[in-house]
Amino acid sequence: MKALSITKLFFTIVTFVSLSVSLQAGELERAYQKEYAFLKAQKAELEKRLEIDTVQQANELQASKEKVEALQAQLLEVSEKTKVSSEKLEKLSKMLAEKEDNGGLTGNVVNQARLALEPYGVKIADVNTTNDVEKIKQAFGRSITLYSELSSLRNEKGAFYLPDGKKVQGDIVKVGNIAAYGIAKEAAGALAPAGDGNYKLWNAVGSSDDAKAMFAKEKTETIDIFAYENLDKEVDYVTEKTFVDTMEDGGIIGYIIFALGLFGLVLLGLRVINLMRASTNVQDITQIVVEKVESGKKDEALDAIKGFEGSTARVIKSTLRNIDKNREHVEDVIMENILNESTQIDKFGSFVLVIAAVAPLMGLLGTVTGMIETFEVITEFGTGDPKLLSGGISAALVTTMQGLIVAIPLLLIGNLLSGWAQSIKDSMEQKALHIVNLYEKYRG
Amino acid sequence: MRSIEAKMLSPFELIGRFVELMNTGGVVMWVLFILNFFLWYGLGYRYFILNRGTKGNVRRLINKHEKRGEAQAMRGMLDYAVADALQAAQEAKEIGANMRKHISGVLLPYYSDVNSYRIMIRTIVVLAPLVGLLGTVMGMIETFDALQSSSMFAQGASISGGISKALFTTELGLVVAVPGLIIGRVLDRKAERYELEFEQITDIISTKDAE
Repeated sequence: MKALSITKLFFTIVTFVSLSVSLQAGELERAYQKEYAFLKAQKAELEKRLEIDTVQQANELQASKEKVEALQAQLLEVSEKTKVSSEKLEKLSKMLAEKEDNGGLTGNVVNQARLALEPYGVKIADVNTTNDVEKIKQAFGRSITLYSELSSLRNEKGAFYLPDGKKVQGDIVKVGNIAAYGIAKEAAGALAPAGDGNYKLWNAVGSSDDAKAMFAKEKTETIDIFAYENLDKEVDYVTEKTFVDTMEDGGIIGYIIFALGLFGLVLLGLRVINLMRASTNVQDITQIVVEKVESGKKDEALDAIKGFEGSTARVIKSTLRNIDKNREHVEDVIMENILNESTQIDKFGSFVLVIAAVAPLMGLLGTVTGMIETFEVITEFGTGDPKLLSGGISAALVTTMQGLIVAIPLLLIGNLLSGWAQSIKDSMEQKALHIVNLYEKYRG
Repeated sequence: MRSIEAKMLSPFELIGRFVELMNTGGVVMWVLFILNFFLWYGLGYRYFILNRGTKGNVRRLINKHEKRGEAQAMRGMLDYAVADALQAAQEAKEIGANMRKHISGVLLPYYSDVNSYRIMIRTIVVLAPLVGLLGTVMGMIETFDALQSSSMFAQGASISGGISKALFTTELGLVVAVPGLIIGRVLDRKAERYELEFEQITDIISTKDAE
């Protein structure tokens, strides 16, 4: 019952409200329309304004863009210009440095030329008014003139020293700037530096014909010439190397080799005497003995050769003494005798060959020690002076030469004597056996 | 320096050139020349003495000699050796001596013949390079002496003269030694073969008659 009454109430309220709303609706409609019209007008106005603004802004934007572009182009142009000018600047500064360098170089060249040409009495102007090019031109021009002058063969009057120290006047033929010939009444020949620009007659080889030919500008097939570097330093005369000088070059080892050589020669001499003794009378002895033995007279044969000395004689004597014994025994006796004699015959033989083998080795030793000394000198004084080097080497080589000079004859003669000794031994055996055979033949 | 020209030179010119060439090398060249002369004399002598003549083996040779006797032609050393050995065998038979010893006694001179000049050839082959070396050393001494005095004389002591001496002598030393070494070795082999064959002769003859 209660629910029914609430529904009833709700319906009454709704009916009431709806009645009042429908009363107001007409009024609201009118207000709304009024408002709507007003807003619409406002909107149109705003839209119009917006449109105008947009156009204006676009125009402005365009203008600024163009401006920026113009500015950018300008900037580019300017930076390009800067680059070019900086490059130019760099180039210029480089050129400047080069010019400065060249200036220094030219100055140096000119100075050098001045110094080099001064000894020959040629001067190059040193005034500020002449520029570098002029100076260089002058230096080169004068150098070329001097060069062609110096490299020619020219005859001059002058003085030079003779080997005995006398100064003589005469003609001097200068070959370029490296050699000279002197012709005076007293003597003529190649000239060598005597120090301080003076000349002296070179004594090594007689070259007066060459000097005269050079003076007359004749052609010769070969010329003797003494070439020098400059005239400031005196060159020592070449003295003919004597035996004593050579020995001194060889030093201690040279003397040892020399002594070995002498010793070897003495031994060879003794050996030759030995062999001569052993072999001189072989022919006579065999002839006598063969004659007697063929007819069986062995005692007579022994008597006949009693007076003979030497190895062969001894061997044949002992053969004859034992000839009656059987063959084996006789042969043993012969061999034993030959063996005995061969110590005498071969005496000194191997020793000589040992000396011949040792001498070149000693020479090599001397050369090596000499070289070591030479190079010690060089480590101390440097290689500036070729004389130190070449003189040392030539002295060092002397011992090798000595060694070979000793070894070669000793080897040759020693070997030949060994051959001789061998042939003596062979012939002794041969002769003794021959006699034995003859005797056996006689006995039958 | 000295170009060999194609045109013919007269003998005198040739000799002149030869002497000139030899003199560039100095004294040592002449020593080598003389050594060379002796060397080739020895080699030639040895070659002719070792000339074999008969080919074929020793046994057949002995048979031939036994059959033909004096009629057999003597062509070389081996023939003579066989003939002598046979004669010695005959003798030994007659006197009743030891045949082998008798024969080897007869053959002894052949051994020394076969080895004649052998030592000389060997010595020269060893010596020639040594002499060449000596020449080289002398040339170098001359060169360095000339360097020391800085003189360039074309003749006599000079740099170029010393160097040419040094080179020529070594060259000639080797030119002398090398053929001597080779031919000498060949001849030595020949001689060794001969010695073997002599022994063979002794063996064959002495055993043959014992049978």
